[in-house]
Amino acid sequence: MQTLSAKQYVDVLKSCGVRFFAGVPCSVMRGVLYHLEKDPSLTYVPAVREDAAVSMAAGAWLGGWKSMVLMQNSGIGTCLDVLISLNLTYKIPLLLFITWRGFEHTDEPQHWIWGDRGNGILGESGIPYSILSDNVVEETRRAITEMEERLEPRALILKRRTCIDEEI
Amino acid sequence: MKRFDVIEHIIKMADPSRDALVFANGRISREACYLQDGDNHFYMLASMGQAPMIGLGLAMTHPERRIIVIDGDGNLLMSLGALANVVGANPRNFLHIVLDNQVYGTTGSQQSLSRVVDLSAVAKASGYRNVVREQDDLAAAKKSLSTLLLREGPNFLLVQVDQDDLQGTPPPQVEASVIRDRFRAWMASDVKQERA
Repeated sequence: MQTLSAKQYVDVLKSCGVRFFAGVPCSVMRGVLYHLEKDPSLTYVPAVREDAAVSMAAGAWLGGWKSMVLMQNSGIGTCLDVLISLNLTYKIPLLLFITWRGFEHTDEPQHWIWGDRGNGILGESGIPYSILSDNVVEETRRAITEMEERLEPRALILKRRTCIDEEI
Repeated sequence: MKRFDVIEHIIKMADPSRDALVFANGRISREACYLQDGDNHFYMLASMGQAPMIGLGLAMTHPERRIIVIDGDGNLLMSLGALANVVGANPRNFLHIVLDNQVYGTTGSQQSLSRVVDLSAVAKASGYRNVVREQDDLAAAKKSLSTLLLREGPNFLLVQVDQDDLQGTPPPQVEASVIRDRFRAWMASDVKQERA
Protein backbone atom coordinates (compact mmCIF):
# COMPACT_ATOMS: atom_id res chain seq x y z
CA MET A 1 0.00 0.00 0.00
CA GLN A 2 1.11 3.52 -0.80
CA THR A 3 2.08 5.28 2.43
CA LEU A 4 2.46 9.05 2.52
CA SER A 5 4.41 10.80 5.19
CA ALA A 6 2.28 13.08 7.36
CA LYS A 7 4.03 16.07 5.79
CA GLN A 8 3.28 14.87 2.27
CA TYR A 9 -0.38 14.56 3.18
CA VAL A 10 -0.51 18.07 4.61
CA ASP A 11 1.11 19.29 1.38
CA VAL A 12 -1.68 17.62 -0.60
CA LEU A 13 -4.26 19.50 1.49
CA LYS A 14 -2.38 22.75 0.98
CA SER A 15 -2.18 22.22 -2.77
CA CYS A 16 -5.98 21.86 -2.77
CA GLY A 17 -6.34 25.24 -1.06
CA VAL A 18 -7.45 24.04 2.37
CA ARG A 19 -6.32 26.69 4.85
CA PHE A 20 -8.47 26.47 7.97
CA PHE A 21 -8.19 23.44 10.22
CA ALA A 22 -9.80 22.66 13.56
CA GLY A 23 -10.08 19.45 15.46
CA VAL A 24 -9.81 17.25 18.48
CA PRO A 25 -6.70 15.06 18.43
CA CYS A 26 -6.46 11.33 17.85
CA SER A 27 -3.15 9.50 18.18
CA VAL A 28 -3.64 7.96 14.73
CA MET A 29 -3.31 11.42 13.14
CA ARG A 30 -0.64 12.86 15.43
CA GLY A 31 1.81 13.26 12.55
CA VAL A 32 -0.69 15.23 10.48
CA LEU A 33 -1.60 17.41 13.46
CA TYR A 34 2.06 18.13 14.12
CA HIS A 35 2.52 19.54 10.63
CA LEU A 36 -0.75 21.49 10.72
CA GLU A 37 0.31 23.13 13.98
CA LYS A 38 3.80 23.83 12.72
CA ASP A 39 3.03 25.30 9.29
CA PRO A 40 2.79 29.11 9.52
CA SER A 41 0.78 29.33 6.30
CA LEU A 42 -2.06 27.28 7.82
CA THR A 43 -4.45 27.96 10.67
CA TYR A 44 -5.07 25.08 13.07
CA VAL A 45 -7.39 25.59 16.04
CA PRO A 46 -7.44 23.00 18.83
CA ALA A 47 -11.17 22.76 19.45
CA VAL A 48 -12.71 22.00 22.82
CA ARG A 49 -15.23 19.69 21.16
CA GLU A 50 -15.87 18.40 17.68
CA ASP A 51 -19.05 20.47 17.32
CA ALA A 52 -17.08 23.62 18.09
CA ALA A 53 -14.59 22.61 15.38
CA VAL A 54 -17.33 22.06 12.80
CA SER A 55 -18.95 25.42 13.59
CA MET A 56 -15.65 27.31 13.39
CA ALA A 57 -14.96 25.65 10.08
CA ALA A 58 -18.41 26.71 8.85
CA GLY A 59 -17.60 30.28 9.89
CA ALA A 60 -14.27 30.08 8.09
CA TRP A 61 -16.00 28.81 4.93
CA LEU A 62 -18.49 31.67 5.11
CA GLY A 63 -15.37 33.83 5.32
CA GLY A 64 -14.16 32.31 2.04
CA TRP A 65 -11.66 29.71 3.32
CA LYS A 66 -11.76 26.00 2.54
CA SER A 67 -11.83 24.17 5.83
CA MET A 68 -11.23 20.77 7.37
CA VAL A 69 -12.11 19.24 10.72
CA LEU A 70 -10.13 16.38 12.22
CA MET A 71 -11.42 13.93 14.81
CA GLN A 72 -11.69 10.29 15.76
CA ASN A 73 -14.95 8.53 14.99
CA SER A 74 -16.40 8.97 18.48
CA GLY A 75 -16.47 12.69 17.63
CA ILE A 76 -19.17 12.00 15.06
CA GLY A 77 -21.55 11.68 17.99
CA THR A 78 -20.46 15.00 19.43
CA CYS A 79 -20.90 17.01 16.24
CA LEU A 80 -23.73 15.26 14.44
CA ASP A 81 -26.30 17.92 15.26
CA VAL A 82 -24.11 20.68 13.87
CA LEU A 83 -23.38 18.67 10.72
CA ILE A 84 -27.13 18.23 10.23
CA SER A 85 -28.48 21.56 11.52
CA LEU A 86 -25.77 23.77 10.08
CA ASN A 87 -23.83 22.10 7.24
CA LEU A 88 -26.64 20.05 5.72
CA THR A 89 -29.34 22.65 6.42
CA TYR A 90 -27.49 25.59 4.84
CA LYS A 91 -25.45 23.39 2.48
CA ILE A 92 -22.06 24.43 3.79
CA PRO A 93 -19.14 22.30 2.55
CA LEU A 94 -16.63 20.83 4.97
CA LEU A 95 -13.93 18.22 4.72
CA LEU A 96 -14.03 15.81 7.66
CA PHE A 97 -10.95 13.75 8.42
CA ILE A 98 -11.99 10.93 10.74
CA THR A 99 -9.89 8.13 12.18
CA TRP A 100 -11.55 4.73 12.22
CA ARG A 101 -10.98 3.55 15.77
CA GLY A 102 -12.37 0.12 16.59
CA PHE A 103 -11.90 -1.20 13.07
CA GLU A 104 -12.20 -4.99 13.26
CA HIS A 105 -11.93 -4.62 17.04
CA THR A 106 -8.16 -4.36 16.83
CA ASP A 107 -7.89 -1.66 19.48
CA GLU A 108 -9.43 -1.15 22.91
CA PRO A 109 -13.02 -2.33 23.47
CA GLN A 110 -14.37 1.15 24.13
CA HIS A 111 -13.82 1.90 20.41
CA TRP A 112 -15.58 -1.16 19.06
CA ILE A 113 -19.16 0.11 18.84
CA TRP A 114 -18.10 3.30 17.10
CA GLY A 115 -15.86 1.16 14.93
CA ASP A 116 -18.82 -0.95 13.86
CA ARG A 117 -21.37 1.83 13.43
CA GLY A 118 -19.62 5.16 12.91
CA ASN A 119 -19.46 5.06 9.12
CA GLY A 120 -23.06 3.89 8.94
CA ILE A 121 -24.19 6.82 11.07
CA LEU A 122 -22.46 9.22 8.67
CA GLY A 123 -24.03 7.55 5.66
CA GLU A 124 -27.48 7.43 7.24
CA SER A 125 -27.15 11.14 8.03
CA GLY A 126 -26.51 11.95 4.39
CA ILE A 127 -22.80 12.63 4.70
CA PRO A 128 -20.80 10.85 1.98
CA TYR A 129 -17.53 9.26 3.05
CA SER A 130 -14.59 7.48 1.46
CA ILE A 131 -12.19 5.10 3.12
CA LEU A 132 -8.62 6.08 2.41
CA SER A 133 -6.18 3.46 1.11
CA ASP A 134 -4.06 3.35 -2.07
CA ASN A 135 -6.28 6.08 -3.42
CA VAL A 136 -5.38 8.54 -0.66
CA VAL A 137 -4.20 11.45 -2.82
CA GLU A 138 -6.83 11.15 -5.54
CA GLU A 139 -9.61 10.52 -3.05
CA THR A 140 -8.67 13.57 -0.99
CA ARG A 141 -8.52 15.80 -4.07
CA ARG A 142 -11.82 14.44 -5.35
CA ALA A 143 -13.53 14.95 -1.98
CA ILE A 144 -12.40 18.58 -1.84
CA THR A 145 -13.57 19.28 -5.38
CA GLU A 146 -16.90 17.55 -4.88
CA MET A 147 -17.70 19.12 -1.51
CA GLU A 148 -17.35 22.56 -3.09
CA GLU A 149 -19.38 21.60 -6.17
CA ARG A 150 -22.14 19.94 -4.19
CA LEU A 151 -22.00 22.24 -1.17
CA GLU A 152 -21.97 19.38 1.30
CA PRO A 153 -19.85 17.99 4.12
CA ARG A 154 -17.68 15.11 3.02
CA ALA A 155 -15.74 12.64 5.15
CA LEU A 156 -12.43 10.85 4.65
CA ILE A 157 -11.92 7.83 6.88
CA LEU A 158 -8.43 6.80 7.93
CA LYS A 159 -7.64 3.38 9.38
CA ARG A 160 -4.64 2.86 11.62
CA ARG A 161 -1.29 2.12 10.06
CA THR A 162 -2.48 2.33 6.48
CA CYS A 163 -1.87 5.09 3.99
CA ILE A 164 -0.66 8.05 6.09
CA ASP A 165 2.25 7.70 8.46
CA GLU A 166 1.17 8.19 12.04
CA GLU A 167 4.52 9.56 13.10
CA ILE A 168 5.89 13.05 12.61
CA MET B 1 -35.05 46.15 29.59
CA LYS B 2 -36.66 44.68 26.49
CA ARG B 3 -34.58 42.27 24.45
CA PHE B 4 -35.88 43.64 21.16
CA ASP B 5 -34.87 47.18 22.11
CA VAL B 6 -31.34 45.95 22.70
CA ILE B 7 -31.31 43.98 19.42
CA GLU B 8 -32.61 47.01 17.54
CA HIS B 9 -29.84 49.14 18.99
CA ILE B 10 -27.11 46.60 18.19
CA ILE B 11 -28.24 46.56 14.55
CA LYS B 12 -28.30 50.36 14.52
CA MET B 13 -24.81 50.60 16.00
CA ALA B 14 -23.28 48.09 13.59
CA ASP B 15 -21.55 49.42 10.50
CA PRO B 16 -23.23 47.56 7.60
CA SER B 17 -20.04 47.76 5.56
CA ARG B 18 -17.73 46.38 8.22
CA ASP B 19 -19.55 44.56 11.00
CA ALA B 20 -20.87 41.00 10.72
CA LEU B 21 -23.72 40.05 13.03
CA VAL B 22 -24.28 36.41 14.00
CA PHE B 23 -27.64 35.88 15.70
CA ALA B 24 -28.33 32.84 17.86
CA ASN B 25 -31.34 30.68 17.06
CA GLY B 26 -34.81 31.21 18.45
CA ARG B 27 -36.29 34.55 19.41
CA ILE B 28 -33.02 36.39 18.89
CA SER B 29 -32.86 35.56 15.17
CA ARG B 30 -36.60 36.06 14.76
CA GLU B 31 -36.66 39.50 16.29
CA ALA B 32 -33.50 40.65 14.50
CA CYS B 33 -34.81 39.61 11.09
CA TYR B 34 -38.18 41.18 11.80
CA LEU B 35 -36.75 44.47 13.09
CA GLN B 36 -34.24 44.92 10.28
CA ASP B 37 -32.82 42.40 7.84
CA GLY B 38 -29.39 42.83 6.26
CA ASP B 39 -26.78 41.09 4.12
CA ASN B 40 -24.36 41.30 7.05
CA HIS B 41 -26.72 39.22 9.21
CA PHE B 42 -26.23 35.51 9.72
CA TYR B 43 -29.30 33.95 11.31
CA MET B 44 -28.52 30.67 13.01
CA LEU B 45 -31.69 28.65 12.49
CA ALA B 46 -30.69 25.65 14.61
CA SER B 47 -27.30 24.25 15.81
CA MET B 48 -28.00 25.72 19.25
CA GLY B 49 -24.92 26.83 21.16
CA GLN B 50 -22.72 27.37 18.12
CA ALA B 51 -23.09 31.10 17.36
CA PRO B 52 -19.77 32.10 19.00
CA MET B 53 -17.92 29.35 17.14
CA ILE B 54 -19.35 30.42 13.79
CA GLY B 55 -18.33 33.95 14.75
CA LEU B 56 -14.84 32.82 15.66
CA GLY B 57 -14.33 31.25 12.22
CA LEU B 58 -15.38 34.58 10.70
CA ALA B 59 -13.17 36.62 13.03
CA MET B 60 -10.08 34.52 12.30
CA THR B 61 -10.48 34.66 8.53
CA HIS B 62 -11.42 38.37 8.44
CA PRO B 63 -9.41 40.40 10.93
CA GLU B 64 -10.38 43.60 9.07
CA ARG B 65 -14.02 43.17 10.12
CA ARG B 66 -15.68 43.29 13.50
CA ILE B 67 -17.66 40.18 14.38
CA ILE B 68 -20.56 40.67 16.77
CA VAL B 69 -22.22 37.53 18.13
CA ILE B 70 -25.67 37.99 19.64
CA ASP B 71 -26.09 34.98 21.88
CA GLY B 72 -28.62 33.84 24.47
CA ASP B 73 -28.18 32.39 27.95
CA GLY B 74 -29.55 28.97 27.01
CA ASN B 75 -27.31 28.94 23.96
CA LEU B 76 -24.16 29.80 25.87
CA LEU B 77 -24.92 27.39 28.71
CA MET B 78 -25.02 24.64 26.12
CA SER B 79 -21.45 25.28 25.00
CA LEU B 80 -19.46 26.97 27.74
CA GLY B 81 -16.33 25.44 26.22
CA ALA B 82 -16.76 27.90 23.36
CA LEU B 83 -15.49 30.62 25.71
CA ALA B 84 -12.17 28.77 25.98
CA ASN B 85 -11.91 28.49 22.21
CA VAL B 86 -12.55 32.22 21.78
CA VAL B 87 -9.95 33.16 24.36
CA GLY B 88 -7.49 30.64 22.93
CA ALA B 89 -7.75 32.22 19.49
CA ASN B 90 -7.66 35.74 20.98
CA PRO B 91 -9.56 37.54 18.20
CA ARG B 92 -9.14 41.30 18.58
CA ASN B 93 -12.22 41.89 16.43
CA PHE B 94 -14.74 39.84 18.42
CA LEU B 95 -17.62 41.05 20.58
CA HIS B 96 -19.74 38.40 22.29
CA ILE B 97 -23.08 39.74 23.50
CA VAL B 98 -25.37 37.59 25.65
CA LEU B 99 -28.99 38.65 25.99
CA ASP B 100 -29.81 36.91 29.24
CA ASN B 101 -33.50 36.48 30.10
CA GLN B 102 -32.88 33.45 32.32
CA VAL B 103 -35.36 31.33 30.39
CA TYR B 104 -35.73 29.26 27.23
CA GLY B 105 -38.10 31.80 25.72
CA THR B 106 -38.84 30.15 22.39
CA THR B 107 -40.07 26.91 23.97
CA GLY B 108 -42.34 28.37 26.64
CA SER B 109 -40.06 30.16 29.09
CA GLN B 110 -38.71 27.19 31.04
CA GLN B 111 -36.03 28.42 33.43
CA SER B 112 -32.36 28.31 32.48
CA LEU B 113 -29.39 27.99 34.81
CA SER B 114 -28.23 31.57 34.26
CA ARG B 115 -30.32 32.24 37.38
CA VAL B 116 -27.55 30.64 39.38
CA VAL B 117 -24.53 30.93 37.09
CA ASP B 118 -23.30 34.42 36.25
CA LEU B 119 -22.22 34.01 32.63
CA SER B 120 -20.29 37.28 32.67
CA ALA B 121 -18.20 35.94 35.57
CA VAL B 122 -17.54 32.79 33.55
CA ALA B 123 -16.44 34.91 30.57
CA LYS B 124 -14.21 37.01 32.81
CA ALA B 125 -12.60 33.93 34.36
CA SER B 126 -12.13 32.43 30.89
CA GLY B 127 -10.02 35.43 29.94
CA TYR B 128 -12.12 37.72 27.72
CA ARG B 129 -10.30 41.05 27.57
CA ASN B 130 -13.16 43.36 28.60
CA VAL B 131 -16.28 42.04 30.30
CA VAL B 132 -19.31 44.16 31.19
CA ARG B 133 -22.61 43.18 32.76
CA GLU B 134 -25.62 45.48 32.33
CA GLN B 135 -29.05 45.25 33.86
CA ASP B 136 -32.07 47.55 34.32
CA ASP B 137 -30.89 50.52 32.26
CA LEU B 138 -31.03 50.58 28.45
CA ALA B 139 -29.05 53.82 28.24
CA ALA B 140 -26.17 52.27 30.18
CA ALA B 141 -26.28 49.13 28.01
CA LYS B 142 -26.09 51.28 24.88
CA LYS B 143 -23.10 53.12 26.27
CA SER B 144 -21.31 49.88 27.14
CA LEU B 145 -21.97 48.55 23.65
CA SER B 146 -20.41 51.65 22.09
CA THR B 147 -17.40 51.43 24.37
CA LEU B 148 -16.80 47.71 23.83
CA LEU B 149 -17.07 48.08 20.05
CA LEU B 150 -14.09 50.42 20.16
CA ARG B 151 -11.90 48.37 22.49
CA GLU B 152 -9.63 45.55 21.49
CA GLY B 153 -11.28 42.18 22.02
CA PRO B 154 -12.25 39.52 22.63
CA ASN B 155 -14.94 41.39 24.55
CA PHE B 156 -18.08 40.22 26.32
CA LEU B 157 -21.27 42.09 27.14
CA LEU B 158 -24.02 40.48 29.18
CA VAL B 159 -27.31 42.33 29.12
CA GLN B 160 -29.96 41.11 31.50
CA VAL B 161 -33.27 41.48 29.67
CA ASP B 162 -36.98 40.90 30.40
CA GLN B 163 -38.75 37.79 29.24
CA ASP B 164 -41.05 39.81 26.96
CA ASP B 165 -41.01 38.92 23.28
CA LEU B 166 -41.76 41.17 20.39
CA GLN B 167 -45.20 39.89 19.45
CA GLY B 168 -45.92 38.45 16.02
CA THR B 169 -42.36 37.72 14.93
CA PRO B 170 -42.20 34.67 12.66
CA PRO B 171 -39.03 32.63 12.10
CA PRO B 172 -36.69 34.49 9.70
CA GLN B 173 -38.47 34.73 6.38
CA VAL B 174 -35.26 34.05 4.48
CA GLU B 175 -34.23 30.60 3.29
CA ALA B 176 -31.06 29.08 4.69
CA SER B 177 -29.37 29.02 1.28
CA VAL B 178 -30.17 32.71 0.80
CA ILE B 179 -28.81 33.59 4.25
CA ARG B 180 -25.66 31.66 3.32
CA ASP B 181 -25.12 33.13 -0.13
CA ARG B 182 -25.75 36.76 0.61
CA PHE B 183 -23.77 36.65 3.84
CA ARG B 184 -20.80 34.93 2.20
CA ALA B 185 -20.84 37.44 -0.65
CA TRP B 186 -21.00 40.28 1.87
CA MET B 187 -18.03 38.81 3.82
CA ALA B 188 -16.02 38.87 0.57
CA SER B 189 -16.90 42.51 -0.15
CA ASP B 190 -14.62 45.44 0.65
CA VAL B 191 -14.84 47.21 3.98
CA LYS B 192 -15.51 50.93 3.66
CA GLN B 193 -13.98 52.79 6.57
CA GLU B 194 -16.67 55.43 6.93
CA ARG B 195 -17.43 55.10 10.59
CA ALA B 196 -15.36 54.31 13.64
